[in-house]
Amino acid sequence: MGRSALSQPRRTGAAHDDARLRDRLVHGDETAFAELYEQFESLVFTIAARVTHDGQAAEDVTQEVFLAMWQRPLAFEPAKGSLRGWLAMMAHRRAVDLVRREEAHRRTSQDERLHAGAVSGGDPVGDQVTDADTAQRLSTALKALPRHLGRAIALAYLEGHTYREVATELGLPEGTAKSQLREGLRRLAVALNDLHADDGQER
Amino acid sequence: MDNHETVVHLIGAWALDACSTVEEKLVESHLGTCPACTEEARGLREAAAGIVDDHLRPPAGARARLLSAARSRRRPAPAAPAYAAPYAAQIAALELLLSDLAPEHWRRIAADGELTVHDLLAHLAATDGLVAAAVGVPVQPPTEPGEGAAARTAAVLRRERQRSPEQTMRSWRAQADAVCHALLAGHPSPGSVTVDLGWPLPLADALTARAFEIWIHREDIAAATGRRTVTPLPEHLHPMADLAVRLLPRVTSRRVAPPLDRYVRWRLTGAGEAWTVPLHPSMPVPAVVRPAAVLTLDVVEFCRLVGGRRDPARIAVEIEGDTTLAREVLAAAPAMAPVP
Repeated sequence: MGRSALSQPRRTGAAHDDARLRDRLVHGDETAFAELYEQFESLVFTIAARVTHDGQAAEDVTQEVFLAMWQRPLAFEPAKGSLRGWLAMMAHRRAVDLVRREEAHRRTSQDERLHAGAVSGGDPVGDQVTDADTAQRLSTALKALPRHLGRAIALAYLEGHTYREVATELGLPEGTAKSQLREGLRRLAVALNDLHADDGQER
Repeated sequence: MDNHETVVHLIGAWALDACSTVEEKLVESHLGTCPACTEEARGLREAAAGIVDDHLRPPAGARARLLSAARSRRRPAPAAPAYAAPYAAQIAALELLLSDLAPEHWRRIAADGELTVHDLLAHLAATDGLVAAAVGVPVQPPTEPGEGAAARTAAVLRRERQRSPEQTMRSWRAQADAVCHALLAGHPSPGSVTVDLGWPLPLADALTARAFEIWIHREDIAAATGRRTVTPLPEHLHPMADLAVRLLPRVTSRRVAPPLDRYVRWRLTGAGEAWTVPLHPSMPVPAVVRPAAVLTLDVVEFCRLVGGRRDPARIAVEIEGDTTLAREVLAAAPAMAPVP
């Protein structure tokens, strides 16, 4: 399993739309930038908020992701993946960096341990972000996976843990943690593909 | 060194940003050399974007803060009337490329065997200055009566070689902004102005010609500095190709063997249009005419050919009809390019 869903070529229409939006940004088109924001603000902000648990930090990450796309649109290469995947990656990397820096800072300053995974202070975004229940933060598609795979992915992606930390946390050998993360994502890819195929049929 | 066996097991963790920095670099250097891993990495990255359902929204006001921050980090293309949109877009795209250059890049030779990147920008500013002067925008140094494109470039080069690349860039961009501002104001009206850019051109065509040249030199600069760049948007390429096709008879009439009462048809793929063109500018184009030759080629490659950046003998083209004529027309096309 997995392989066939993963190797499905991207719909050429979607790749073309991504390339065109990128090219309009290269040519300094502010309208394209506003469209980019409208299309992906929710994706970028949600990822940042789910990882940082902090509304202000999430807004900062969101701003930096979109500004990077405006200032360096050519860093995105449509041939290598979707714009959605690219922005999600930038959002996640920045959010995780923030959380890890905060974690390191907390460890060195030996402050009392704050709520696990939370970035200090900030204004939480209502109950959407303060809700610590991990399950609540996962997509419907991920919740449909076997529990142990979903849990490994949540620890890595949402808590910003490395696979080594995931292994320690779950009491698994590192190799097992790595393969659970890979297998979980492969199954998620298949589930998301089916979801999109259903969408396509409805249209 | 083949890291495939190591990388395969790390791809899932990599797609979740759950590797160490060293492992992340290892994975990324392996991707690109290995199609199987690249394909899997792409699929897993797309899947990672679906780990959370995106239904949170940034607070009200975030959008306005972002748009204002974006403007201060990188200026958008200057506002311009529709006929000058390709020009405004090329200004923004070139500025994006230039703002990424290191001091040593500015000294690289980028065109004509002797012009550096800095010189080339001065040259572009000089030719833009002819348009600026024609629409009443003050230029530095002031234009001389009857000053052509070459003399103008020489004058601006003398001035800009005494200044830093940043200074040249600032005045080049300020001049382009002032031109677009004047065009938006609509004085003088576009129909009443002719600009001599080697050819005397109506204002709208002159701006298309400027967009064309800026793009061609952007590719020169990208190539000289190892930077990535993109071709103009299709809706901007179209008027460039159209202008080139309309100007072609001026060079074919001098460079193609008679009889000149013949026509060629250009099918430019990607432009969504075909043009039937006489060999001589005085020949009318009747509604129904049988071309002596039909040339089919990519619109971007056609533009690079007439921009003097492709070898007519080696360009990918499909020819129907009179092959000898088609080859003569192709050989004549680069003569349209301004020097450099």
